[in-house]
Amino acid sequence: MTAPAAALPQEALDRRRRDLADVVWEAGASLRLTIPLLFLIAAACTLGTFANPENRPMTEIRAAIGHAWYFPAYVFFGLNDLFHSWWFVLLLVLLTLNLTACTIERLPRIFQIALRPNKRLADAQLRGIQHVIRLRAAVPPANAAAEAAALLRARGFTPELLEAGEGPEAGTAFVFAEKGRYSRFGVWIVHLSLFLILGGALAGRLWGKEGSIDVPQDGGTFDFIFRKTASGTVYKEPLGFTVRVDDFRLLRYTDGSPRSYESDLSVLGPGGRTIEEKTIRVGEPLVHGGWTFYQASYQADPSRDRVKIEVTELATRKKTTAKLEKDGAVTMPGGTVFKAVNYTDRFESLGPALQIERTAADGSRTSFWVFQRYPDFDARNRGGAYGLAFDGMEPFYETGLQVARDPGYLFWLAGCVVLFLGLTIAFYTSHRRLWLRVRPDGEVVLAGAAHKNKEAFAKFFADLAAALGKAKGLRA
Amino acid sequence: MSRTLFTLSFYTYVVAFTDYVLGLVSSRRIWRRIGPIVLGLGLLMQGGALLSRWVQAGRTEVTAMEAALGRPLHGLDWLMTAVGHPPYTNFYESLTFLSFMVLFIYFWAERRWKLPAIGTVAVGIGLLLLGRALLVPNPEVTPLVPALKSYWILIHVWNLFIAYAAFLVAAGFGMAYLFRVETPSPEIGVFLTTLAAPVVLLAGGVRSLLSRAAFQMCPTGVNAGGRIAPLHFLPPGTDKAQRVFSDVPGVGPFLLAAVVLYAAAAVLYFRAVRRHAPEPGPHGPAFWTAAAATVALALGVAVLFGQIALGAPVLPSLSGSLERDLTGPWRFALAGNPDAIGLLVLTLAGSAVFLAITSFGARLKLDLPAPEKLDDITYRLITVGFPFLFVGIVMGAIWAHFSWGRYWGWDPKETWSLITLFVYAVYLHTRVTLGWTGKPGAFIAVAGFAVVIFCYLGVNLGLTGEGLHTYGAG
Repeated sequence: MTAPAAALPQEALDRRRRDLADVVWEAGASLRLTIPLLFLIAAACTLGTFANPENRPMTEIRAAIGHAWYFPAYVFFGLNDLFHSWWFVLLLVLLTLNLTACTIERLPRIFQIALRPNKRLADAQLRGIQHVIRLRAAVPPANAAAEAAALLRARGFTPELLEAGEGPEAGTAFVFAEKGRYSRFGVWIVHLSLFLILGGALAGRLWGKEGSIDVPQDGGTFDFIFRKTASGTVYKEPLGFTVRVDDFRLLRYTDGSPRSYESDLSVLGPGGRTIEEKTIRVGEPLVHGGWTFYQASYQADPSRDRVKIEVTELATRKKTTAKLEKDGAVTMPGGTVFKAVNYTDRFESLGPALQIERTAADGSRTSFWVFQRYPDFDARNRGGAYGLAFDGMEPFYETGLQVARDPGYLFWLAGCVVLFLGLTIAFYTSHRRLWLRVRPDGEVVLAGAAHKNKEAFAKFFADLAAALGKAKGLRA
Repeated sequence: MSRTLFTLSFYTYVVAFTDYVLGLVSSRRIWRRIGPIVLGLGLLMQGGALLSRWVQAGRTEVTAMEAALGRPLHGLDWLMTAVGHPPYTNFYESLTFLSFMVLFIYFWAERRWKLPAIGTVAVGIGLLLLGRALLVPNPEVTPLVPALKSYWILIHVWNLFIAYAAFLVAAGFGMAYLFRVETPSPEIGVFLTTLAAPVVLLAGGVRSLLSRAAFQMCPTGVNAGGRIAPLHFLPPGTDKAQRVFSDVPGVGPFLLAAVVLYAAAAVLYFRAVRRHAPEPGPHGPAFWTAAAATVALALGVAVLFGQIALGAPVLPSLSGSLERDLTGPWRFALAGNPDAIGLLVLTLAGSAVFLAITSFGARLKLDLPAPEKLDDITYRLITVGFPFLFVGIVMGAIWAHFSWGRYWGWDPKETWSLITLFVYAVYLHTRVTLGWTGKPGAFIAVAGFAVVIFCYLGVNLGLTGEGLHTYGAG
């Protein structure tokens, strides 16, 4: 028969509560939680790359599989955008909490090992140490210790000579030397950097804004960007100031493939005054008022392509140039009108060509072609008062800008720097420790341990042991 | 120049591979002595090929830039333009580069830990990667697209190749470990069949296999240059070329049967492991199921190769215009999708080797180093790869931040590199903190092989969505 819970003394209740808290804490601070979490996240990521590979909006997906029996589950688990679904974020939060708990649980012990080592070698310690050799001292302990310390100093260590012990250890000399103590913290620096990176990402997620806008290349202005909500709705986000696109250039190689593209941006203040100007390229953004403007892409707008023509009045050799949009026209002083009606980039084998419609002063119309590769063709062959040359087509573009503000950015970047530091320390340095004990009866024990790169240390230790064995006051 | 050297190094590696295989199974020492020398020779050639490719690319960049600017480049501008096109910017180049890194890292490990020539697996991987590269028609070097023109390409990419290569070689040592400690076949059986089922399903094309029990393949034609090229077309309203896939008759049902049988064998082997049943050897039901799966897969591959060799011209359904000047008749050819076929053949070879070892393994005594040493080298190679992978990912994120204004976008390549990072994070944490040395570690290291290959190839195979890392799929 068990007593009802209420009958338990308060003390027992408290203990039970504490036990539960301990169990939760222990589980939370355990690596046995980390491993399944990492596996789960990896599995979720795998699913995420297959769930909606074309990144289709929800409306399209609903049209495709809305009738299927599994559709409610699809929606519930947010499989259209798995990486931002509640359960994926929950997994990331759990991993962060687990990492925090592990750090709190283990860091003090690491501090203990790294900062307060047991400098006087005790027999109980010897069992756990990788390398131990025994020698005999021919001189008093203090002298033998000093001799060994000199050897260690020659190998770049800063040995500590500890005064003779008390009690049973009276008269015993101790030497302790270590290198690369900071190496113990390498792993924890890596984990700390993860906090910074995840924290920065979280801040960016909560308070950051990100959107895009396409602007015509000829002086279009904007004071907002288009943002997309998780469900795929697009709305306007005001910037708080106005930006003007003064020009966009697509630079090409001689074979026509794109070499680089850039936009001239001006930030406008009150009254249309220009506050800041910058040419942005891929990798060279403009930063203003907390917003960053990236050159992300460009789109052609063929309806606004322009053709360059040069009209020469044959009698006077007077030249007029004009840039015309489709169906744009240039009117000559005599009243003749030339209108660009058709462009092709391949007229049979003659290359780019432009069809012109000529309207004479009396209203009569004729139509003819001019060729970019043969600028004299029209003046020589058509006859008339004017010769036309086609100087080429200027495609019209809209520059694609990615615009973002990310308050977590500095955290994130700092996290990266700390990560590099941590990885270097964790993977390429090692904490090496050496203990030496000389007893009054002449027994000498040298012990050494490295927590990484143990092969190299084994070699170093063997060399050191050999050198000690040859020292004047010591014998192997 | 570089192509000739790549081809030469490929044949040198074939010789090296033969030496390594003979060195492993033959008791004569001579093979073990020759293998590393031939391997080193091949590495020298391939290193020369990569350098020559880099110089060639640099020259192309400088010429194109000078022509575009109308003036010669000098000083730092010249240098950045000349070195700014490293030899790993498209699929062909990345394959040659990765195969070099794999072989180099194995060679380094062999010298570093004074090992006998045991790198059959590593040399085999390098050979396969380079062979796959040589299937790509030699692409001309063209100037980089604007998105890749950045010094970040010199910082970001090679880190990942070192990581991939270290992990692949580590997987080879993991396999050697499992073999050395005579891991019972049910344990390996669980592992292999669990891996084989999804691989066959993925390589066969999940959707087509499940919905129509059909294996799909890209037919090829001959283009104006006289080369065989996969059939691409441009859907109306876009300028992005897509491959045309066509059903290969008769293959699908065999592949589907193989998937089902592999899955069944996985369950049977798992039960054998759970029950701690005595080593059933070649007589248990699990063995026979796995053998049946292997036979089904072999038949499927045989039918596939039959269709490739003897099949009549095919008429794929097209909606859109053809890309480039490709002419028919359209046929199934190995060049159509060598990756999917390669995965199927690898799976087949893997299971055949497994079945053979289960049956005759007792007679095969390979002279491998001590298990502790193999285990330690696996670990050490992973500690080489891990920081490079981490730094490579973060460098890529910083580059993305400056280019596109976001550092993480769950792009397929980004996501898969993160999965890879997690898998090896699990390896390191279980080993260092929980003390999972030996068998469990070796299993993770070998599983990592699949993850790395998928991270590297899967995204380019188009198994996931289009990403930002598929610049040069050709």
